[in-house]
Amino acid sequence: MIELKDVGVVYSGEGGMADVEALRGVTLTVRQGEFLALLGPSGCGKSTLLGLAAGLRRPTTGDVRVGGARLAGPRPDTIAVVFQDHSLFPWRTVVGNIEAGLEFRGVARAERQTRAMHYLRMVGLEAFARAVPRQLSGGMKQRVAIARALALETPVLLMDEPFGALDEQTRMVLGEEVSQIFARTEKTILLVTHSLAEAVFLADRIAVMSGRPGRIRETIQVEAAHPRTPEFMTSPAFHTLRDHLFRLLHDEMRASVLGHDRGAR
Amino acid sequence: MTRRAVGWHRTGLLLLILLVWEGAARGRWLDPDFVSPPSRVVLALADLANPRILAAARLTATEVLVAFILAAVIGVGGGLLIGHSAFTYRAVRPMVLLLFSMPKMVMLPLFILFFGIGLLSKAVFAFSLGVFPVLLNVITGARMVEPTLIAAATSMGATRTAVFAKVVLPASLPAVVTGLRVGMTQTVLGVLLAELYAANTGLGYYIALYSQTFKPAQLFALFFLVAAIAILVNEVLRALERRASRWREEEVEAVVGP
Repeated sequence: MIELKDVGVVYSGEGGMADVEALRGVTLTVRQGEFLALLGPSGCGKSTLLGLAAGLRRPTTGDVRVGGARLAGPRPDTIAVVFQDHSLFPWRTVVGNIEAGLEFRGVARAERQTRAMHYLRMVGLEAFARAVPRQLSGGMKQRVAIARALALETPVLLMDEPFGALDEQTRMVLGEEVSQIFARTEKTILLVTHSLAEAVFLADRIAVMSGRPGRIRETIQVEAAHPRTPEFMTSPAFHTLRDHLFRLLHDEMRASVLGHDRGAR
Repeated sequence: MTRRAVGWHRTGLLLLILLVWEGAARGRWLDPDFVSPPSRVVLALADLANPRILAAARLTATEVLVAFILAAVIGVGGGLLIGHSAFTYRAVRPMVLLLFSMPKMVMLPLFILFFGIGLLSKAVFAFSLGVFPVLLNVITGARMVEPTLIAAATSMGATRTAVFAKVVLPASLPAVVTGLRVGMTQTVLGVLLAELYAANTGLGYYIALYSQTFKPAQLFALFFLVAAIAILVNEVLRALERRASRWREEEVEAVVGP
């Protein structure tokens, strides 16, 4: 469904800064109907990669294809995106926010409203339809953002650390919701995360990235049916996978946090 | 202290000032050629309701309106365009700031030379004062639109025009209204200054006339009238401003001016 072939991204430095190589030689395929998590230390280019898949960014080298066609820009008929910081329009109501995408796509008003309310119910926030974002908690805002992406009814959903700014409990609850939505809607999902538990809990496959310049280090299969429940989180299989990921990423995360130069190794 | 007590003290202070003023003017401690007692100023207010002054007020209002509409259209349109793209922001904003820092007052004789002593020179001069608060506030407003909001809109299929109309404009709206409010005060100031300097009618002209012919009662009456109108317009725009920024999580100060 989404194919990245030998993709590299270089940000040209501005004002005397050196160029930054964010991604190098990344080849990755997200299969149709699959939930793929992209896991890596902060600053490894995960979000850049998601930007490429969203058509919001062009690769410096290599090729990005969606459904076989080369991606030249956003494809709101195929790809919906949930951003890191909910990115709701603060001057619109909750339902107005969900309608926004449909408005841009030229959907008629009446259908916009029914569809918006349908997805608002799916994330359990129909009582807040007329509220404005600043009246909602962080978790509620992110649920609205998910509803907004779902309302576009695209086969592909991209999520850029959607729960990154939330507390542990809220993350868990929303994670379960996403698992249920995934089981119900047969979407292809690409999730960017730095949380090991989140990746194992949600994904069918986990692509582990290395630090800058970002490369895919390993892909790992997670064998468990959706929707997944909290019991899965306490199962031995879950812990085996999580521990494996931890060992894979431990050095990378140290390097990225402490600022060691990986290129010197 | 209660609100009511504050209100009483305020009114009392105002009355005291008026009383001292009245007494000082009547007791001849102040030169009656320069200062009239407030009671006579109030009477002079009725005097102002004559056709010449009303026509002058209409002209002044028209001049303000023409200048303000020009400042609003060019300030908001230009501000959104300049602030929206990093390129135009870096290329054009320094020039705007340079023009803004120039003392416009010295241009007034030039404007009168170019545009005569009628409506046009007043409107152009007032525009040259009023456009900058609008422009600079809107540039900053458009500059501070969250990039992820634009990315979100683009990812949902918004065209360039839709991004402008449905993201950049509403996100900058509080800055737009703030700019318009400050721009309005500057526009009024510009028109009155230009009328004081060279005109044959308009409220500014009459202010100059009354002061030069030693009619302090009429002068003060006109002065209070102009001040009252200016305060009223400012308050209306301030109310609009509060409405426009209701969705904001935090208060944002005006970039230019009070």
